[in-house]
Amino acid sequence: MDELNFRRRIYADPNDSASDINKACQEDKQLAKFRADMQDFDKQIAAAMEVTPPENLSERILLGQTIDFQRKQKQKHRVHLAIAASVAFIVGIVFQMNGVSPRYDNLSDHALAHMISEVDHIPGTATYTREQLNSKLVHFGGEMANDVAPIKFANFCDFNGTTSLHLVFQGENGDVTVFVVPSDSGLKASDRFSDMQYHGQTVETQKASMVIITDKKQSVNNWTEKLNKAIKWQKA
Amino acid sequence: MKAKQLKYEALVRAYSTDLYRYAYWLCHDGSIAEDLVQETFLRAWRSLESLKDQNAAKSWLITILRRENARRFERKQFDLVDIDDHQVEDSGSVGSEQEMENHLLRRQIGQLQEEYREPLLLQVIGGFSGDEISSILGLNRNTVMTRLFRARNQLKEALESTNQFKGAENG
Repeated sequence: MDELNFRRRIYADPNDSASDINKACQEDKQLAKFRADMQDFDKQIAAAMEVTPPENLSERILLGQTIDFQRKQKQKHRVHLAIAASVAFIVGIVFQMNGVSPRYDNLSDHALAHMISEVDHIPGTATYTREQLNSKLVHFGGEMANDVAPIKFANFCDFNGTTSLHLVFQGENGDVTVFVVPSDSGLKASDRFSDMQYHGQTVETQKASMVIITDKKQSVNNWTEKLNKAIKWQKA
Repeated sequence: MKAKQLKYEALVRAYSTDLYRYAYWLCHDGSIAEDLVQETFLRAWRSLESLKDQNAAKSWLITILRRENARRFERKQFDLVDIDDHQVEDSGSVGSEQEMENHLLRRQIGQLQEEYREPLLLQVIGGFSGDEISSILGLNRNTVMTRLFRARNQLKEALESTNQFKGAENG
């Protein structure tokens, strides 16, 4: 191996220990020294390249990864939620279009369905006052002049998209439910109606329909009379 | 999941210092170097499954880091700094002869052209062979060996000329 070639190779890699390099070093002391010097120089280069990394670099990298991972998981959850919501939405639309969900164009059917669905939310004790009831009834053009029975519930409710009043009286033989629904609800009222358990009547007033429902053990007629006497409706 | 995490932690602990050094000499800035290393390891986490051979982990990480560094230049076209005008950070006072040389050498390494500096970093910091360097940099082996030769040659000449200058001054 000529000297120039040897030097080039040692410059390129001072730790080159190929057999021809080793052989050249054994044969020529000068070349061996040259290699040793270059190896020292390389140690100097390595020392110069040494840069102290920031403290806790590994920990910070691991923390960065944990945060990134959690963020990714959260995004994944959000996507899943969005997909679920979209699916639910489509299902809702399809059911609505096919008329699978119950629809009532009849005031009495709707009143019965509404009452039954709400029956669990009606409080066990009668704590409402007549004043509270009247503050709401006034929106429908009515005022209850005297007490008819303890009032268990008196609140606005959504009645097929129309704001209505939902009243529950505590009768001697069970609860009496009364809905006051504005006349412009678009729902057709029938005077008398019933299902297996309940029966009811509708009373038309100037501004609203009053639907009275009791169970079949009670006389809905008596309640209608009582309420008609107690509530004064505005005249047009 | 647990196994992946352990494998990842082992990689971080084994290679973060070397990667940081490598990044530092690519960008000459401590905080950018840390960002590069952070980003490199994040990407490594996301594609850890693609690392089949544990022995190739270091060159795999270096390849990711180099790609991240290139991306940085794509993003920040206008922040490009000419390497000749750029002083490499150095800290601490210069005392003994050896420290003086070390200081000079650092400056010279910083001023090497990137095509010479990178193979040298891979060889000295990374401990990679000529073949490994040629596959990381996508160059043929002869080119890599020539660049390594030139890199050391330039450093040695720069150092010797400074020493001569110093000698003349003292004499």
